[in-house]
Amino acid sequence: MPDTDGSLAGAAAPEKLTDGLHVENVSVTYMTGRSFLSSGTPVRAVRNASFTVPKGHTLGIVGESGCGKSSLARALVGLAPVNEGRVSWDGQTISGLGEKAFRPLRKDIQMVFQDPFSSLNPKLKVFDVLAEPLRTHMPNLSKAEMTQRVGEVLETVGLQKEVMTRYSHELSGGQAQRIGIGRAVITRPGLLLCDESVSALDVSVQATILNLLKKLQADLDLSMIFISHDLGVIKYIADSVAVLYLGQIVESGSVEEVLDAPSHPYTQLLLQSSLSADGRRITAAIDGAEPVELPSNTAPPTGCAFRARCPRAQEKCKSPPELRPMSGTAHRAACHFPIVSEEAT
Amino acid sequence: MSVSFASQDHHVLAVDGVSLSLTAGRILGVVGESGSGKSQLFKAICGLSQGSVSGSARLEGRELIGLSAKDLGTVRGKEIGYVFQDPMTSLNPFLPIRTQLTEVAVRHLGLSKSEALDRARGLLHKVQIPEPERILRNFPHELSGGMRQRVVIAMALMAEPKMLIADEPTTALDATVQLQILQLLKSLNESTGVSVVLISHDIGVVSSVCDEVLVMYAGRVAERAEVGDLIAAPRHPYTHQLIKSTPDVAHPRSKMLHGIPGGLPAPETDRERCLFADRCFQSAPVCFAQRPPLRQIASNKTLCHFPLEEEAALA
Repeated sequence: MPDTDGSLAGAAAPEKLTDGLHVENVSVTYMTGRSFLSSGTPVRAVRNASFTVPKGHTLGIVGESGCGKSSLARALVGLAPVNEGRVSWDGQTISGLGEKAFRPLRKDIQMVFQDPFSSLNPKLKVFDVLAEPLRTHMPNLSKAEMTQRVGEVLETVGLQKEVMTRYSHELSGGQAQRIGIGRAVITRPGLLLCDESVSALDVSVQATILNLLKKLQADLDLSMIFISHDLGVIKYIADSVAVLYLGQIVESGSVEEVLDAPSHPYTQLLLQSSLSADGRRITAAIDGAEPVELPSNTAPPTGCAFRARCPRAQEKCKSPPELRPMSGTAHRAACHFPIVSEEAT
Repeated sequence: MSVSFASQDHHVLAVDGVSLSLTAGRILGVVGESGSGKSQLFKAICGLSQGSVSGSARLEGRELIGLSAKDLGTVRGKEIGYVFQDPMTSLNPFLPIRTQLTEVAVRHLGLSKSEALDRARGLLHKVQIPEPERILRNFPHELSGGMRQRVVIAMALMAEPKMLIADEPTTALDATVQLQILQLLKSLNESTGVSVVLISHDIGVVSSVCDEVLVMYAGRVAERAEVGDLIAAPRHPYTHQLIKSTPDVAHPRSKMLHGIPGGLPAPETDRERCLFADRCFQSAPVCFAQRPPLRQIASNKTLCHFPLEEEAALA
């Protein structure tokens, strides 16, 4: 099912059609259990994903563990192979490049990781953590210019200049994640990928980091991909959303379309499972409702991958549904029996 | 109860004179961020603390602090079931589930092997595990995270404890599985009457299943209330801000989240003051100079010089 028109853009047209990030029919496959006797079993972590992230736009990617969201992110930044399909950034193809060919692109495509401590070199002082990308990507900068850029970026991420001389283990979780963000934006990238970048933080700190990322995104006109399992976080930070289930996009559209009026029963299940601090009570388990094991992506189910867990599943679901337009402007869902907005909760 | 740790240059008070009681059959939620002392408090109660513990903890009148390691082992298996965040803390990777479950009932209840096996089957059914016979033969690594956590809950219940302490039992799980585990804790509480303590960093988790909630900050109880009163009318500014900083998918999109600037006070900070004062939106000089009093407003007990909506308290 070739599907090249996976645009998640709203009404605003980008300056050029090729601007921003374009992902077309991308699949990421790993081999597991490889040994000298066998070539292993292929695991299709991501299957046939297509979407666009225009300039200055944030795409949220949601899904449970094993849905392929991190594999997709790693493939976009050249850390995992794109086996099929094409990724382009501002008109330039960036998939299928070797490590060496990708290196100059890293200045423009940066990533913020989940654990701020393990992603910062413990042997470097904060100044060197921040200056390292400048030394790599802008070797012509003078020492004074470099110091100035580091000072500016510390201010941008809301830290005092004094932290420059500290090591990462001397920082709090929130401060360390601010440094992780500072390191990612110091080369003034156009695309920022955040993989669960706030999940390791306490909620009071998480909120301040999300505010910072949202402000940076607007100030620097960044294109951003924000991966999270937390729908509340996605609703706050993203403009559009893609919901992944077992490696496939099952629903996409604007935040309002997908999270306020979901069409796919899986998105609805995620929304119902998301707890809020408003004191909404959950009831004891329904009698006879046995937990269903999440199917594996080494042997994905035939037809609709969600049908074993789906309350709406029927005979037709044994054939795979295509991602097709729903009522909203950019809203798409891969479901034979999508929820129409009146019945959505 | 107090728990302290001695480090190189200072004395770290992880739990600072906390007093609480839990009525049998209820679900108590304990919420707090990292460093709040929430896990340390309950580890100390069960004799699992590495720090030095002072104070008293009684279970149905029996003092737990100062018991011998052997007696504590019996209390932990038989009277109090403990469920950790990582189920592999409680499971032995080299033994099949069957052996691990039956061992508990043989040791603590003196059941025969076949009686214990019947009990294990019944409990696996109770924690809603499909195909209990297959699970009994399985080793822990053959199960998913959600199934392992169900097995650990069943194991904690094998000796019919009076109290179940679940420390971040759903933090490592996906949202859909988390919901199932919380529903399970709720239905076990309803059907067996076991008292539950649910420790979590997530106020959403706690507010969705608990009867009462304890909010901890820097080793102290900032506020304690019936869940409805806590969520609808928090009296402590920290509780209020904690609720406000949690992003909620059910709410309309917000322009800004209300984070709490700053962080926990350094361990050497003078404790004769409000420990939240540096991060509080309404702190006054007295907050930095005096330990706040414990005030009661409706069902809320709050440790604050200026509880929110104080006029309501005076009325």
